[in-house]
Amino acid sequence: MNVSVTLFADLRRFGPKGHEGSLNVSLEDGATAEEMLTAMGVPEDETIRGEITVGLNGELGQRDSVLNEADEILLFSPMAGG
Amino acid sequence: MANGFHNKVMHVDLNDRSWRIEEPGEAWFRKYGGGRGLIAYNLLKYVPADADPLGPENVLVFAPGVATGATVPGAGRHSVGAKSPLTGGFGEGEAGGFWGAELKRAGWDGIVVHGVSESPVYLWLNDGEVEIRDATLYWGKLALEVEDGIRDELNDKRVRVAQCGIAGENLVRFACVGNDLNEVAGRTGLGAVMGSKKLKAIAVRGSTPLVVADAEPLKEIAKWVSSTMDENHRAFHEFGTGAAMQAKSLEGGLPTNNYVLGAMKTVNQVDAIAVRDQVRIAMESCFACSVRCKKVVQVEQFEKDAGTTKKGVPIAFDPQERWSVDSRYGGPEYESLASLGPSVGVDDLIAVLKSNELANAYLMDTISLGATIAWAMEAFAKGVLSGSDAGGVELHFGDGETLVRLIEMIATRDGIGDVLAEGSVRAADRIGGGHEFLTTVKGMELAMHDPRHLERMRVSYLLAPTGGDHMAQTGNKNGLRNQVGLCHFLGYSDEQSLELLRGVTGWDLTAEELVDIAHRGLTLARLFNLRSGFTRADDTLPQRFREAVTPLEGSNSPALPGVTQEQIDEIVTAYYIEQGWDEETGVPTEATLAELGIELELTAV
Repeated sequence: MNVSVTLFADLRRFGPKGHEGSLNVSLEDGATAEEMLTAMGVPEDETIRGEITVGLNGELGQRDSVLNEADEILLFSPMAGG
Repeated sequence: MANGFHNKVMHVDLNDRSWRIEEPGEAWFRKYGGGRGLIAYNLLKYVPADADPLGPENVLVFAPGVATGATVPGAGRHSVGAKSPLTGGFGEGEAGGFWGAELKRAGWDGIVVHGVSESPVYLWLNDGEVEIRDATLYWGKLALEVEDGIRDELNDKRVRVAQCGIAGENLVRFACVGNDLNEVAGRTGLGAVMGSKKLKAIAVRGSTPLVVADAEPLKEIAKWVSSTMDENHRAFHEFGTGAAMQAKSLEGGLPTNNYVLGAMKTVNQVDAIAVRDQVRIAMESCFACSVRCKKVVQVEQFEKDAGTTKKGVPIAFDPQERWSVDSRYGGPEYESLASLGPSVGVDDLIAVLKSNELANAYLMDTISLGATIAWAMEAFAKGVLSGSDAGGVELHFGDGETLVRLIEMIATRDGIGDVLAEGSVRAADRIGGGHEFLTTVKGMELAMHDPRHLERMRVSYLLAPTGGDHMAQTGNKNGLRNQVGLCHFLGYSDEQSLELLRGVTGWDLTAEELVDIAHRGLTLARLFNLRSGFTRADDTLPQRFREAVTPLEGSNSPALPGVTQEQIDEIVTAYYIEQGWDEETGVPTEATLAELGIELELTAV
């Protein structure tokens, strides 16, 4: 199945260099958000993954959320403001 | 020849327009660094316990740190401090840009301003020379006119200017001190102190690079920042601050409608991504920094005037033809996007930008400004602030046009603006209600990170000497950055920070020494607050944050629970112990004062 993923802020380093907008990611049916992170090459490092906020179709998702065809996913990491 | 500092602090007395040089000595700089240390030291020394913050006995301190002016990313920061007219306690704001570095290049480690001038003046520091000049022509002028005017008068476009705005002249209690037009020492009302002294500006020209012990580690660190930009500073480099607002909203932690709600569906219309996509024309940097995280925005009022910049970047226009936004005032940081956006329920990006521009033109803290207006909107919705109190102005959440109108009214103390210019606590006192939904700690409005959402913010809001301050100065790492003049956004490891400071000063500093330096600044600030009458009872959160976030209809953003008294007690006690203060009262113990080597005359409470 295919899902659309938008990487925010410093997570954009996990997408192709200079990419804009959302990325199309191919996954096995029934894959979770966690498995999607692996497919995208996000390191299996809890200090990175533990900080990621998952937006799923406009709502708050979780790392173990099961994904469906054409899901729209936003991935954020926290940042202090100034 | 000293490295990183000059051993010269200027004391200016505006009563008789005299000045003298203090030479604190190398040991002093090694002990305190600068920043908060310099400020608290001078406040304790010169400001009597019952001094009126807007009267002649207050002092206004401009405090870079030993690193400020070194050629390394992040070394462009300085603090400004005084007894705060908003909190009545230790007041301080940190700013970036170029002014602090210029002051060090002009040969100064700090400025302490005493007394009050009879008529408006500005200080002109031209390398070693000092002049007090008439500023009557600039009184009542917007920040841009003041900076341009002074540069014209001094015939030097490279002069850096710090100034109080019209808001400071009018003693707005959260007026700020700005520099370089898009930088501010924002919080605690320092602009009002500057205005009360009739000190309109400090203009600086410094042509001598800072002497450092060893430039090699600084060059290595600068290379490291540039070559690892993607991994370490990507977010700031690409967006500046404010790229995580949608995440905050999803998680239920976006300050919305005076912190009633935690989410706003249209937050993506007013975040840093929207700024980049719709209105940003460039990114700018501070002194010596390659991260370049400062947004530059421009909006034309009419489509016909838009077009593109010289570099071919499209210029935005207001489709409703209401406002233009001048690029010289810079674009909004996260705090401003949030305080002038969701916190007042506004999702109109151009209204947020116009509000930010006006805040910089008149020089008011965007956080206290937005949060005070948010409080007033809730008071209006609940009928606590009546129509007649508001003089016919309708203060509704989500009304961007009224937001923009209110900013000018507050800066000039017009109508309801005169009440709101006092800050939300005194405004509540004036109208006789609305205290139960204040969002203040020690009299200062919380910044735009919800303590119900971010645990690490709790200790900051509870224990910051300045009140509802998010800068987490309570941690020794951030406390240290403040005192040496380093920006918090550079992700330097502890080892890198040590290398950097050793390279600048030549001192064989240890990590423990750095912790002590941070401790000293925080302890001195604590002493000042104790002397001003603060107690443990003030290290608390207001009722709004004891209540849960109200869930947003049609959203699964969690309704985060309130912070409990138990949690507060635990955090406060643990912090007191960490700092070496009495665990019940938070009074620095004699043992701690002795250990930190704090001079006895400063400790008289």
